[in-house]
Amino acid sequence: MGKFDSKADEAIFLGYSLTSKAYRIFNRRTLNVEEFVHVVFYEILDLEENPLESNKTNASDEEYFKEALDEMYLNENPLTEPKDLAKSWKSPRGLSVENVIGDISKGVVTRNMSNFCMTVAFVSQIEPKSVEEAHQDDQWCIAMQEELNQFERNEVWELIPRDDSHQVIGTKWVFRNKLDEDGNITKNKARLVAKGYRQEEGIDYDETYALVARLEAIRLLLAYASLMNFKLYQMDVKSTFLNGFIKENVYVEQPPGFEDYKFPNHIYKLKKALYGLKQAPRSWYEQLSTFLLENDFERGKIDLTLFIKRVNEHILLVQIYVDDIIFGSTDNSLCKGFASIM
Amino acid sequence: MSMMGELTFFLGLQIKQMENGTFISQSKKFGMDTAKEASTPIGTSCYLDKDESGIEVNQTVFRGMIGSLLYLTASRPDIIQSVCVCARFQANPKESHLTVVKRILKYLKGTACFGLWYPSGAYPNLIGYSDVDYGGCKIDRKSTSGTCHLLGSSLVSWHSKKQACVALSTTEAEYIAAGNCCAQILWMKQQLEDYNIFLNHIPLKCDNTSAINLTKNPIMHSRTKHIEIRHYFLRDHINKGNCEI
Repeated sequence: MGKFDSKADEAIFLGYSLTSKAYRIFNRRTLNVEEFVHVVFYEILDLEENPLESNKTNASDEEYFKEALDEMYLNENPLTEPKDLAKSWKSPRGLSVENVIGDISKGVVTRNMSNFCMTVAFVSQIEPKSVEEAHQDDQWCIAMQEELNQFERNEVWELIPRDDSHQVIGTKWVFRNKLDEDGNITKNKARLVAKGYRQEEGIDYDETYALVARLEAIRLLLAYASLMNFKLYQMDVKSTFLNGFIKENVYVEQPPGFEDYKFPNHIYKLKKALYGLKQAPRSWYEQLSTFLLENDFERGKIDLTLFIKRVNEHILLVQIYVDDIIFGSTDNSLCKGFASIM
Repeated sequence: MSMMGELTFFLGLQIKQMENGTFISQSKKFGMDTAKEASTPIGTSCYLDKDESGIEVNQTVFRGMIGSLLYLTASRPDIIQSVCVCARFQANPKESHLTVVKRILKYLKGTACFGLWYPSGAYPNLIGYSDVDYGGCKIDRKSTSGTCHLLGSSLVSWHSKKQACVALSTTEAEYIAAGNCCAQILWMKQQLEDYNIFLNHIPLKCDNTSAINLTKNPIMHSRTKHIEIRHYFLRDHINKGNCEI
């Protein structure tokens, strides 16, 4: 299969077609029984290879398919439908057609299979290489939509008419599957990034840097915390870079596949930074440091990623590593105060 | 912004905070599960050279191993010297170098649970140690300096580095190492001032009498006249009372 792997659907062989020279298979993605000629067989092996299925027994699989098959036969045969409907009319009030038949397109969800359906149906197993590929997969469409919603919520950009004097930077989708400890896919993450490599120093940006703390500084903080007997806490920031305001005028193309249908030729003017922009980490740092300085913190004398707040005898330390924040204080109430303002 | 609670996992470091101290460790997979365990990271009589006639090994794999080992040194000061020695041969790794790296991995396998222990409640005083391996590198006879720093009784910073110039005497090599150590002490001193700890006359332990004397008495004689100016910054800071040998 090779290059077609990502486009192919996983299915289970059921038998042969009665009417044509094809295989009858159960498509795991659409949860439908289909007839196909283009089938590549993987013996029972792939059940073990796929970590999702490894904890399911074959017995439950079989049971599920039987039920699904029965349902399919019922739906395929138009004669049976009126019968079913007629029955449901007679059934007690409160029992609707949906309750009896369920959503036909969804297939059957039995109790022991609900987990199976959750993971298979709501998380895509592939990692698309291009937008076109992603558009064919519902889950990836949802993931991309989520990312754009995040933009909306953070008021990242505004749509303006195209002007030739602007240097417009292209945008690109990056698709990644998030894994848990066992290597199971738990989330499809789509991230819209700017093609920052098209930016030129002096024109599009002046300074770039990412703020990272030295490992020694982190260890020093840990040692100090244990010496002084206080607990350290950590927090992280969602869509970190979308929080930083940018000073420069940066224009980006509309995201591929999500053009505004009314103004397909418009461009976005950025109010906040985008992942991939050269100034993104810097603007985030500025945003965070002004926020902290406004809240009576002072910056460390040499370590710019350390922020200190002194209240009487007590001290609150905040160490930043791009989007990870460690903080701790000799006074617990200071910690709680910090967590609440963030 | 999401709150994740107590600090447990940061930049690949596992951190356990307990009543009487903090434990820092890293655990990683190297695909050497079946290997035998070694009790030391490197043999005492192990000298590596370029080994130009040796069999070449895959550079990418070698670099990958070195890379992950270097990251591991964030919580394992015991392997830093051996990893740094191996890292010098990244440009042209041979089989002999790979064996040494594998030895480190074997050692790690046996000591996978090792980490740093930061006990609580000790008095926060800073001590710096420096030592040097005179002419330790077979290829260009440069010396390797090693330093480490303890805050109270917890080890916070360490390093191992081949010196940039060839030292003519152990005194010079030790002097350069102590200079490096002093620079690190100054950084830590500044950092601790942010934590409301003010230290002066930070002890710096050095095991060479003539190097110590050199910091106190600037004698210019035939064997020390060539030592570069930048290494004299150590003496400057000792005069100012920032640290004490």
